[in-house]
Amino acid sequence: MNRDRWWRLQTRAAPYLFVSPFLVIFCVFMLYPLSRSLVLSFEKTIGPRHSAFVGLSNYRYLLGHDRLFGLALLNTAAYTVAFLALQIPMSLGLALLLNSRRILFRDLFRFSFFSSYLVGQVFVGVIFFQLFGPDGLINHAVSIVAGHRVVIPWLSSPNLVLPSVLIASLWLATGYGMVYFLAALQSVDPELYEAAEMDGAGNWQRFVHITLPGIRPMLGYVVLVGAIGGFQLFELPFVLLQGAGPNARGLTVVMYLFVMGFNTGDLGYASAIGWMLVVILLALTFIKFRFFRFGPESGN
Amino acid sequence: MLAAAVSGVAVWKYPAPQRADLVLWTFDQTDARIYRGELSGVLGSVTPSLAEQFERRFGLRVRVSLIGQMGENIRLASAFMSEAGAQTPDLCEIEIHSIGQFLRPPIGDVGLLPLNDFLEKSGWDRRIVSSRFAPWSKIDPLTGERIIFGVPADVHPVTITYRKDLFDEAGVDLEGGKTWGDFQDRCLAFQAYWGAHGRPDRRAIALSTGGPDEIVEMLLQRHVNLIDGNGKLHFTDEKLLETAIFYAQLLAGPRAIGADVSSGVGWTEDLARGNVCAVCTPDWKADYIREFSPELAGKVRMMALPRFEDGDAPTSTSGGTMIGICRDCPHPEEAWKLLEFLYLSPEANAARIAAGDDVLPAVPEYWSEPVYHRRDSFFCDAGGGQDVGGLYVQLAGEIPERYVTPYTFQAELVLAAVVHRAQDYIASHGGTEGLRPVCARWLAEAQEEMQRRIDFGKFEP
Repeated sequence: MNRDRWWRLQTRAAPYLFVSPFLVIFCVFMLYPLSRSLVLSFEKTIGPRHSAFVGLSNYRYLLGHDRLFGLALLNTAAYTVAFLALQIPMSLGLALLLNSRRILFRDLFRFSFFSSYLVGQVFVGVIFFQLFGPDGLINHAVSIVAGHRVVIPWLSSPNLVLPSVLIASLWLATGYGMVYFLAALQSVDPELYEAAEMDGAGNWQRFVHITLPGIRPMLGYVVLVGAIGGFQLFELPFVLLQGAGPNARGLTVVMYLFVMGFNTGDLGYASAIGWMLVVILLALTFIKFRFFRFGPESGN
Repeated sequence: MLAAAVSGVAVWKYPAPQRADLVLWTFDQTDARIYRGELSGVLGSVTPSLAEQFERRFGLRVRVSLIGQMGENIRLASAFMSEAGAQTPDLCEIEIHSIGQFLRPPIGDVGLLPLNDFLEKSGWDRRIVSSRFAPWSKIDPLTGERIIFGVPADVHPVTITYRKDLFDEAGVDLEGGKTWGDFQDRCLAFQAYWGAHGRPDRRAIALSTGGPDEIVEMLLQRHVNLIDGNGKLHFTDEKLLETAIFYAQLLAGPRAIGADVSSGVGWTEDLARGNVCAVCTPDWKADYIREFSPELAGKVRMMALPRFEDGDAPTSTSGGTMIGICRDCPHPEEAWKLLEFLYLSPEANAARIAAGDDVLPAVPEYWSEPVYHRRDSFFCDAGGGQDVGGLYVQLAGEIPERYVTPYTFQAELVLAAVVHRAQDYIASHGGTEGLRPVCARWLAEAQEEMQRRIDFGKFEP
């Protein structure tokens, strides 16, 4: 083989060789499991040797008859909506506050609020498990305020289960959202604020007409990430409630997937739940891109 | 590159651990430490370890791997699903809440080896409490034979532990009530006393408002499994209806005597503070009181469960662990020897006792050991401490059969939801009047839902 041909071969093969490690890993650890789980979702399986193609039967049962899935979906959607409704304003408020030059020790506060995110859901579950006990710190504080012993059954009352999970996850994730909003706020052109001030715009008008449009793409991103995180909720309630919680009010879609896969051993059905979750997340992503478009028309 | 080369050489030169002849997976920390001889109990440490003793006697090396319960379940499920079987241990310990999923396949495909022949040949089938085989077995639909996949470690009878000091102060003799109805009346008198003496928030007994634990224990007492060994549902059983209504009015309305307690081991603190004054205690749970609330020494006492009617068991059962041999184990005879040695031998029982583990074994012939009959001054009694071990022994022979299927967990969730609706009904109507037909309808719907679920999951290869 002469030198030119060898060089041409190298030039042609090099890109494929460079991407091949990624491709191999992607195919083995992502593509194959994903496609296998998709196939599984159309099958009924028992043990290693028996499976049968059942078409859309798993999906039909899931959507038409499975009350527990309905409950899990309702719990998860309620949690996600409440989480976003509270996390976004709280994170944005904190970011606005800590973006102000008048605040002393801004960096310390920024780190403090963000640090809760570093510990992870399991750790937060363990901490709040203690805090929410009948004689835990939260009830203790309420009792001091009330002047007599108050026992709020945070983790044992079906009506308080989701609020408890919500409080714990807000503690975990508010600082995380704040960091994104801080970055977005710092990219808003200060001259716009100066011009608006000269035109006599007040704080609220500047927030509505300059800040919000300026951070809109980031807002969309944080909403999307929060919604995806909300629908993937598992570890926190699993640790906090030691399972599905009273009256299954802490049952989430992913927890139900886990129950079907690893308590009941029905991997086909569990896969169908997983793919249903994918459909939900794709829908959310579509909505995000429909309503929070990046680009000039969105003001970015 | 350098780091890779150095670490590669290090790994290559590092002596490989000796290959074990038998590998055991366990999720139970205490068991793992007893097998490895790492546990020093109140009565001394286990030296040499059970694994070493086994190796000396049979010449087989054992490796005990301690794996988190969830991790073990997932790894076992994956291993059983894989036909290669390379990652499957020889033996494994499984907790009662996890066994259902492994029993889902047809009997020939269950990842665990049927132990009937081993049990029969060795005679252990007659020496182990027979009702304790129920959770770990599956009825063959063709022959009706019970196929046993695990050997039970325990019996876990349930008693009630109560604050004797507070009941005495209220002038209530709790143990005088032999039925649940009597028990409730006495608890109401107790609460009335404390309501008039500055503790209106004090509740007589810890019961879960939203979880299934205690109602399932009561149902077992009445020999009702939500799903029995043949896979038959019992939601519409008359006893279940009665029990669900009774349980709901223990928690709501004018005759409520129960309340939720802290999760985890926080309930011991609730007992110590007198927030609740009685709690259902299987043998594994009783030790938590001593460990986490030592200030209760001499203030608590234990009693058998009241019954609903004649024919009910004076106890129930809660929790449990088994050991089984994996189907892919290449040397099942050797694995059986290890199973026998770790679970059934006098050496194993002595090691558990030495390590301070006084949970009753599933082999009645060991129940005469003095350690299960010591008077325990932590539990008050006229004779210098109550013989709580003796009470557990007395009840252990009467524990009801408990079956676990892949759908038991879901059935319990569905039952808990019905009971919670019943509580809401009682709270809003001020009593149980009119509840019976409504609750019967809810249970019929629950049964229908569960039946549909089970039928949907059925698979005839």
